Amino acid sequence: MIQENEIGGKSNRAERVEDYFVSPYSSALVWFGVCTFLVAIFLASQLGAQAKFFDNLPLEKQPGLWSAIGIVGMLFFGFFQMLQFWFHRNGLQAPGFVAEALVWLKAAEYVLWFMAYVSLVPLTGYLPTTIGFLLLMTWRLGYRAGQYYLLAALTGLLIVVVFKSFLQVKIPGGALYEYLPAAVRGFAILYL
Amino acid sequence: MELLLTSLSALARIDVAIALFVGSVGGVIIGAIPGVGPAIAIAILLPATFALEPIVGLTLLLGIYGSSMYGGAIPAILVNAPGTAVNALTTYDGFPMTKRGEAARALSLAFGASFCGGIISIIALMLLSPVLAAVAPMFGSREIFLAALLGMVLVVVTHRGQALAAGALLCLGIFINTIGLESIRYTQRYTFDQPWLASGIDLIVVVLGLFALSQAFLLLVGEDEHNEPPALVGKLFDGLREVLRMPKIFVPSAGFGVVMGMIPGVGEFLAQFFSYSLARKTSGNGENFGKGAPEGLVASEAANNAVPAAAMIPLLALGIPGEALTAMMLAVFYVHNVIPGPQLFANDFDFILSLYLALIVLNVLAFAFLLGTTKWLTQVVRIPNRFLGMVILVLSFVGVFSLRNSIIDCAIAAAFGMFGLMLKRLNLPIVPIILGMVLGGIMEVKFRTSMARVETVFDFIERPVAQVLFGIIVIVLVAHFYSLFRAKNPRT
Repeated sequence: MIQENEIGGKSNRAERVEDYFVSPYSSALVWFGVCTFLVAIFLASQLGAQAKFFDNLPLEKQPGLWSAIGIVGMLFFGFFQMLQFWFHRNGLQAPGFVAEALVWLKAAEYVLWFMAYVSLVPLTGYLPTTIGFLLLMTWRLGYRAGQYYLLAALTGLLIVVVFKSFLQVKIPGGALYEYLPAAVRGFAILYL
Repeated sequence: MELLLTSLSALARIDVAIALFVGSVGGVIIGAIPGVGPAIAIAILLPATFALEPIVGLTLLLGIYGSSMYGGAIPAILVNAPGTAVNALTTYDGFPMTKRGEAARALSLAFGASFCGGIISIIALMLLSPVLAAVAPMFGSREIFLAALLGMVLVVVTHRGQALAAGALLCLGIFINTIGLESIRYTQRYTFDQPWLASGIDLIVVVLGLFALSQAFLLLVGEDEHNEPPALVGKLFDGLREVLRMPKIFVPSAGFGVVMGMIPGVGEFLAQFFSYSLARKTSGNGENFGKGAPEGLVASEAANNAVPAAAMIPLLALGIPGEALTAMMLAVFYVHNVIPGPQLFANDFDFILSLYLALIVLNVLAFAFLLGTTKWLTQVVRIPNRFLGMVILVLSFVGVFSLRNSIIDCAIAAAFGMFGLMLKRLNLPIVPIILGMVLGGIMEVKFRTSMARVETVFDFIERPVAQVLFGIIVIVLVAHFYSLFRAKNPRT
C-alpha cells in the first residue's frame, strides 16, 4: 500500500485513485480511531471551560468559535468513522492491535534517544553532542563496520558546519564551552 | 520589458545564485533518496531560511520542491522504490524498462518529461499572470474564506476511501491552531492552565514532527533494504528528443499538472494519476502500460513536475496554500512580513516574475545536473534506511530547536512525530492536519473581517467571485456524494 507521504518501501499496483488511500480495517486502526474519538469527546466536554463564549458578542467574535468548529468536526467525522468500523467489524485484517502497539513502543525508544540528545546539546555543545549521538546511535542500530562510524562522525561534523557555522542557525553554545581556553572559547560558542 | 529586467536583476545576485544552485542540486539528491523527500527537507530547512531574504529563502525551498521530482524518478525506475510518493506511478513503467535492460533510456525519458512538464507549467503561469493579476483584486475576505473552505472540502473528498479520516484530521488541525492565547478577548483556549501552551503550538513544530520525526521513527523501526542499482548502459541525452516526439502525451499531462496544481487541496498525485489514465487511453499503446510503456513514464513524470509552479498560484495570488509544501512556504512569507495575496500580485509583480524566472533556472540546473551525475547519483539508494533515520533525527533537532531554543518545542515535535508514525503505519493521511492548521487560521481571520460587512447569510455570496466559489463547493460536494452513491449502487 502506498502512503500519501514520503515512503521508503516498494510500491504495490493500484488501478483506482481510492486504492492509494485505503487503510485496511485492522484492529489497530479501530483502536486508534476509537481512542482519538474519545479524545474528541473529552475536548468537547471542556468546551465551556477551556474556550470562552461571551454573552452579547457576535458569533464571529466568540473566542471559542473555531475551537468548537474543530472539535464538532472531529466528532462528526469520528462518529461516522465509528459506524463504518461497526459495519466492517467482521472484516478485520492484520496487523492486530498488539503487534502494531509493539512497533509504536519500539519507536518510543527513539523518542527517548531524541529527547536525550535535545537535552544534552545546551550542556555539552552542539558539535560534540551531535557526533557523540550519531556514533552511539550507529552502535545501537547494530552497524559494526568502521566505515559506518566514520560516516556518522563526518555527517555530524557536516551538519554542524552547514547549519551553525555557515547558516548561523540559533543554537546556543554548550555550557561546557565555558571551561575551554579563552582563545578558542568564543569561536566554539559562535561556530560549534 | 522593464518589469522583466527588474525581475532578472533580483535574481542576478550571488546569494540568490547560490540558493538556486543548492536548492536544485540538493532537491535532486534528496528526491533520489527513498524515505526522505521534499517535505522533510523543506521542514528541516524552513527555520534556517528565516534569516535569509524572502527571494533567497523561497528560491532555495522552491528548488528543493521542484527538483526533488526529478530525483525521485531514479529509485522509482532503478529499484522500484519511489523516492517521493508522487513518483509512485513512475514505477509502473520505469521498473519494467529497467528489468529489460533499458534503465538509462527510462531515466532519460523521465528527466526529459520532467523538464518539459516543468517548463510548460512555468510558461502557462506566465501567460496566465495578467489574468491572475486582474482577478486577484476581486478576492476580498469573503472570497478568500470561501477559497480556503473549497481547499478544505477538496482535501477531504480527494482522499477517496478515507474521507472520514481525512475530515477528522483536518478538524484536528483546525483545533490545534486555536490552542493558546486568542487575539480578540485575550482569553486562553485549551491551554489547561499550562504556561507552555499559552503561545500556542507552532506550525513548524507540528510540520517537523509529522513529516520529519515521524519518518525518522518509521525508518528506525524498520529493516534496512539492500538496494543494488543496476549499471547504466547507454546515453542519458536522448530522452528529451524522444519525449519531444510525444507531444500528445506530455502536453496534456503537463496541462493536468498545471490545473491540478492550481486547485487547492488536490496536488501532484491526482495529476499524475489522471494524466497516466488519459495517456493509457490515447497513446495507442495502452495494452503495454504497466509493462514498460515509455508513454506511461512520460505521462506521469510530465504531470508531477508541472505541479510545483502551479501550486504557487493559490499561495501567491490568494495567500492560500493548496498542500503541505506550500503551507510551509507560507511561513517564510509571514516571517518576512510579506503577505501573499491579491495585493502582492497587484503591487509586487516583479517579485512574482522573479520567482517564475527562478523556477525556469531551477529546471535547467536540475536537468543539466542529472545528465552529468546520474551514474554517480544512483548510489544514494544504497544508504541504509535506519542510518538515514538517525540523520533525519539530528536534522529535525536543528529545525525545531533553532526556532526559539525550546526543549518543550522538541518534546511537542517528538509527540507529533509519534502521532505521525501511527498515522503512517495505519496508512492515514497527514496533510489534512497541516492544511487544517493553516486554512483554519486564515478562515478564522477572514470570517471575522467579512462578517462585519454582512447582515444576512446571503450577503456572504452576493459578489460574483463568491458565487462562483460557493457554486464550485456545492458541485464538488454533490459530485462526491453522487459518486459514493454510485459506488454503493452500481446498477442504478
